[in-house]
Amino acid sequence: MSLSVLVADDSKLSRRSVIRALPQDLEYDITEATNGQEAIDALSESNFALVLLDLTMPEVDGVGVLEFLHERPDTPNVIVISADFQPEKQKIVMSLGAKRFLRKPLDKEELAMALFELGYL
Amino acid sequence: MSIVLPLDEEQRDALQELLNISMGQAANSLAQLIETKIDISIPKISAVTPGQLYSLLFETEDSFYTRQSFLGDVHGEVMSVLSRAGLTEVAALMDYDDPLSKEDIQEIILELCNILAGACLAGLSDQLELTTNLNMPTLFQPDKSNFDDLKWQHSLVMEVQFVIAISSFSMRVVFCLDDESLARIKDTLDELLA
Amino acid sequence: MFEQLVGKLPVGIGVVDENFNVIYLNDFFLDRLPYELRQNYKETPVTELFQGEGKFLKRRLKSVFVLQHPSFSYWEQRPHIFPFKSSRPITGEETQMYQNMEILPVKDKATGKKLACIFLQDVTAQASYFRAQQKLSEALKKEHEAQRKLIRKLDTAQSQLIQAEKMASTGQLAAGIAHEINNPIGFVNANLNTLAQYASHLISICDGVYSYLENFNDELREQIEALYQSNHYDLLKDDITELIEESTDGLTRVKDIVENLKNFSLENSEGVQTVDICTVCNQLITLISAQYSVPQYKFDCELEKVEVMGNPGPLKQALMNIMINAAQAIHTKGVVKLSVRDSGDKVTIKILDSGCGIPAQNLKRVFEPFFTTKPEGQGQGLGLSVAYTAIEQHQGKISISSKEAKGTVVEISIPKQPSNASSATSEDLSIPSEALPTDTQHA
Repeated sequence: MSLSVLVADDSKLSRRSVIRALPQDLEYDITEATNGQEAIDALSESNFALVLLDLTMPEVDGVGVLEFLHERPDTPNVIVISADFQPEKQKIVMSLGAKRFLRKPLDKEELAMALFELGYL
Repeated sequence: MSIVLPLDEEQRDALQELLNISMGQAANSLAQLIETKIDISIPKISAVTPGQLYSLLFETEDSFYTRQSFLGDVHGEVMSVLSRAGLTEVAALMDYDDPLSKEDIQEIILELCNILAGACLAGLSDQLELTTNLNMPTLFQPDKSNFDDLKWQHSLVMEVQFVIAISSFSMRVVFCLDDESLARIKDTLDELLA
Repeated sequence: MFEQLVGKLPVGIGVVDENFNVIYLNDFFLDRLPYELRQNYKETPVTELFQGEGKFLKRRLKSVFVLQHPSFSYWEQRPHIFPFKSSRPITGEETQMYQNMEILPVKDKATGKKLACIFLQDVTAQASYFRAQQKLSEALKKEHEAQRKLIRKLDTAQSQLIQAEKMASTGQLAAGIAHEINNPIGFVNANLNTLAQYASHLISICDGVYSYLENFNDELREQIEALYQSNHYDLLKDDITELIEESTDGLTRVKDIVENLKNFSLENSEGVQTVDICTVCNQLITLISAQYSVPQYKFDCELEKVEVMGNPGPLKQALMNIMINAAQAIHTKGVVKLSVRDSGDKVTIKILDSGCGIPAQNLKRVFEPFFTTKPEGQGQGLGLSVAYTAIEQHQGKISISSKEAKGTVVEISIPKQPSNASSATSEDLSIPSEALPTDTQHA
């Protein structure tokens, strides 16, 4: 059975590098969102097991998406992948229920480690 | 007059993302030093004429302006626009004593540019695997006529903005590249996208 | 070889570790250390070795270690980071070295430890050159500004002169008109006199007829009485005399004004002659009170006549300018008083007003040509300077004293007999005359 993943990032390059960094051991069913609003729409329509979320996005940013999810009962695991990794920001993100915070540029090993810790591997 | 961007959509997207990452690193550097949160904007990439560059930079009133050039694998200039508002609070965070002298203010401005613009450029060069060396920043007062006299037709500019949340301070950094460097960056971006 | 080279470089090179302790200093730094420290400077905090801007240096070093990014400092903002003497200890005027500093993050290749390399440049020569240039450019700027002011002043003066010229010709025009008006006034006056006589004759006739009324038969008497009544004879008889008297009065006033205007015209400066100051003063009061009706005017002189030898045109002009100022100084209520005193060989004329007065800082400038406190275009600033020139040419003296909100006194004294009468010919005194407006409004 494949893992349903939502990759939300306004940059195509970034989405591509996130998808490429996913460990080969699993199969994925990937949906892409190019901004926060698209992500929210996708999350409202279907259930995802995992969300890989960027913070700096137009329209609605990553924090907006987290706030949306925070108010819902049944939420997927969220791993934030952002260039803005100031301690303040990390605190906010974690308090809104994100499971992990990873820095851009994304390190393959770090992502694998996070997925392992969250029980996917 | 709008000018066609000398980058295709994928190249633009990639450059914007790299810049975003560099900004994050720059903001983090400064945040570490002054122990406060810094908000970053989504970087803007565009092509401008000298006149448009002038408006882009200097239509903000009540600001300080600096410039610094960078050399190495790519050549260009970084120009920064720093708001007067909120500078005192930032100075306090940087451990300067009140009241600030004129020299203190100049020093703070130059240092902020050096840190933010410097970190941004360093991050970008790192990701593109290019070597660049940023020269010392200098204060300058732009003059419209000087911009009208510039030799180039249009230039690629990358614009980013930092806002220090607890004060009203904001700073815009604009990177300009010469044509040769632009070609070089395009090649590198293509390699990255391949 | 590189070690020697670095040692001898004409810039300061120093390396410190993360605790700011010195690892290496080249000769540039060493030469400036106290002799006893030169051998064992290592492992000492850099801020202890060089007690200059310690706090600043620490801050910058910290930033370099934290950010792993170079830091710069310029002499313009922070000239003396290290307490070093000027590179020209004997001949130079700078006593402290001006410095540019750059701190670079470096890594010890052997240990991998983070280090910071301090580059220090002596820019004293540049700085002093730059500062000299700056001073020079400031001086030039000042000079330039002064010149611009002067040019502006000259421009204003020129346009004021043009205006003054215009006013002078307007004055001549006024005199010409006065002359023209004189003729009709002459015959109107003569006619009016005749008319008065005729009227009294007509009244006598009518009265005569009326007194003989009883001698007429009834029918005739009724007809005559009806005629008298229908023409309102009683009213007519009373009114006609009054009307003619009023007209004569009015005409006399017109004549006075025209006469005064003529007296002040340029053609009237006939050269040195006997001038009765009392007559002049009374003429002036008539003329000015017609225009400025707010103040009360007083004239004070013990004698009937006080005569001087002088040129009547300029003298009258001078007095008039002063009088107009006095009158203009009074806005709502007040007195303008002229007093004339004969003191043997000279005459003293005082013009006093109880008006708004002149501020002290303006008082010493009121005789300056073109000095005026009136709004632009309303005063030429020539009135008192013209007066001054006229009095001076009569070998007289003019002085002014004033107190704000109290009033102003102008005192003029002129010799009755100029020591050299020929100096005051009409030629000398042909200052553009009567229509020149006065200058200082006392506000």
